Amino acid sequence: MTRVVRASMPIFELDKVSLAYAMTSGGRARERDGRREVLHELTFSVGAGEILTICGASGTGKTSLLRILAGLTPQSGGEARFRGAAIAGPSEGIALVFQDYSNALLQWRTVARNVALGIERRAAGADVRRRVADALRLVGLENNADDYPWQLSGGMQQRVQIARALALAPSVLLMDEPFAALDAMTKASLQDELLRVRQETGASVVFITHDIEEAVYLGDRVAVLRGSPGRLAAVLDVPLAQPREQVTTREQPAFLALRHKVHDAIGRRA
Amino acid sequence: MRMLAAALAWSRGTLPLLAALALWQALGHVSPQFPPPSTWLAALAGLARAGRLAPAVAETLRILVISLVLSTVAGFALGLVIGMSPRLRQWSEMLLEYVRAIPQPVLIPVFVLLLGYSDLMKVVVIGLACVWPVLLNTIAGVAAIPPLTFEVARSLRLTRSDTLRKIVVPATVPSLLLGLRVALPHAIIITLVMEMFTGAVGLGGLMIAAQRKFNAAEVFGLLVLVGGLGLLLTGLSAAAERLLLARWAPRA
Amino acid sequence: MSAARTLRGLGGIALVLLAWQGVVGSGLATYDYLPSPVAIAASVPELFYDRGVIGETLHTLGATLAGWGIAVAIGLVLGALLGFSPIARAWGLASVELLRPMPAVALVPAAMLLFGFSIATELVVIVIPTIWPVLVSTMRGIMAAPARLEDVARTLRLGRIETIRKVLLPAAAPAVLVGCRLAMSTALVLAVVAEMIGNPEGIGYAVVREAQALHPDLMFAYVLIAGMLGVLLNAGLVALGRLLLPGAFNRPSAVASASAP
Repeated sequence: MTRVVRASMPIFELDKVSLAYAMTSGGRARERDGRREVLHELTFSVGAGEILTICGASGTGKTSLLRILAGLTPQSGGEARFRGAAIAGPSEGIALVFQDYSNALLQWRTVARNVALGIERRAAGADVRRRVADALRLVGLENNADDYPWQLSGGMQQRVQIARALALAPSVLLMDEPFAALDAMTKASLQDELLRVRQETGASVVFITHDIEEAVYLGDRVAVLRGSPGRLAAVLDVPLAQPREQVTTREQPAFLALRHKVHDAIGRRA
Repeated sequence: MRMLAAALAWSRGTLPLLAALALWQALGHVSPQFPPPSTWLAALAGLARAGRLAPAVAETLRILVISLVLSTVAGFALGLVIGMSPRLRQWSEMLLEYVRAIPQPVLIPVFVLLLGYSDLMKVVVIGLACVWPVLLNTIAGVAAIPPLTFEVARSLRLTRSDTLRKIVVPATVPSLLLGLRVALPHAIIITLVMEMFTGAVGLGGLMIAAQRKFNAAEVFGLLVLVGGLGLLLTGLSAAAERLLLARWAPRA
Repeated sequence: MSAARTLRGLGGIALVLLAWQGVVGSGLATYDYLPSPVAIAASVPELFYDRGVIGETLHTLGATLAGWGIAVAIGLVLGALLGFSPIARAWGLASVELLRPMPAVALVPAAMLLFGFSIATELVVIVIPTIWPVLVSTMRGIMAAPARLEDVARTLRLGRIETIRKVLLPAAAPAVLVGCRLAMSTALVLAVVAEMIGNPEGIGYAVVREAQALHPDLMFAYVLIAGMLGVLLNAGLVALGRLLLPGAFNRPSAVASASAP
């Protein structure tokens, strides 16, 4: 029942982070001085080893937030820190998993070589092979090393992406609605696999989803974004026991209460 | 066994062609301008015996392959450079469209004048004619790479050269192969035109020479030979493309 | 194309012309037969006064359009026949596939034998190879029309002719159009080839004539005109297509690129 005790320094610290895009000639409405604000003054942190799920309706800037954490997009206001240092580009120790696995994998490389993509430049041959094998074992794909992505199902391709991320031995996984395109059963099985991976590697996870139940099931904490520009509506602790289980956990009164709270925090759409 | 049946079924379709040839053979003696197909073979054999056929074929193939390879490499490299830079793409768009619209054979006299009768002239002329499919297909191929794939490269902190080598090049190889397949017939045509125009050694030169001698049998015989060569080359390139693309095959 | 893009495109052309002018005009690199853009432009009036550029252009244009028109007519009919009739395909497709890859120019000497240096040579050389793109794209366009459309026609109890006229032909139209555009550029190339080798008239012959007379500036001027012809013919065809088939270019076509040779 106890919360995960966080290590000393938070992995991510965000202090009044905002994001606004300059308007181009093809821009949409909601201009403010010719800029479109996507995120407004978000302040929160992510602890080492915890799973933070970020939940919100479409258009609330969840993906943009992830991109800021990933160092792919610089914020327009406020401070964003990774391990104490300001984020200035994709950092060592962060790994991303995208929703569109088909285009995020290289379809002309085998599974093993896809997993190796991030580390082959940085490590020697034998080391690379070992890390690839370990990563594939972690996601249960050790028998598919020589297959091509297009030969695999959607769920398996997503696991390849996760393996690629894990091969980097990251301290944090950033995941952008990774299971949204998969069927319910595959989704459930991958959720549990993610929990197990976190258990074995101790990595932190920032997980974006629009599925409220998924957010509560996976998270140690749930952050809710609301509105456009997205604002932090709430950060809720999830005091459910680990390890979680698909059926029993989801039946617990605490789960249902949390689900209700998250739903309210997201707000009703007009 | 099934392949044999399929081949037989397909060959039924050659009937009109064979019938026409048979008719020609039967009526051929009527006019000296339409010698029967049997004389064509005799004419070709005559050329072969005189030792003129093989060198011509060799020369045509030699210059064709060299030009095709060089222009494909150049077209691919240039296509990658232009494709990766939206700015370059916009600046070069209209220029490329216009140069491409110039009927290629028109450039033959131009380059004969500029470069004289030389291998360089031949390679430039043929290369210029057949670089377009590869160049334009490569540019389109680069543009078609999903932006997400580049994001992945950035998030994995791949260097620029790694991104080019490991992602852009493999992703555009199918475009390259398609461009090459389209370029081959153009290359064959322009090679022949160039040979006919300059009277050079090669199949085109032989054909024009035959025409000047009013040797109809030779003209038609060479026509069939060239047709067969075209068939062979396009068949080979299609097969090669299928083999190479097997690896990049059904995308999810 | 947006205004900015057009400007950049023109800018690219201007840049190249300036560089060309700079290199040749300043004497940095002199080839005997490479004139500067300015020299080429200066020779243009000569085209009108000393040469019959209008007549020559009209000749090439006329031959191209006539050859193209005949080839399209034949190609449409044969392509439709092969497209609609599996029997026709069974007995004729292989012949088409054997004849199609023949390099078009191989016909020039044969045509010259039969018709000498004349417009007939030019037309024969243009028509025969130009039939193929039209034929193939028509056939494929018809064959690719979704089977569901035929089912719809049957449930609406349309007669065979009506089905063809109202459903299948319009469905095949975009592919046919692509074939016709390909045929147009083929026709122009062949017209020029014929003029260079077999029929001393028109733009093709003009380029050869000026090259042999060692008038590089006039030669380049003719080359540029040839390019403009190409652009104009293609643009004209696109405009015609938009006129005849207003919705065609916005629809995803089943056979958009099937007419590659």
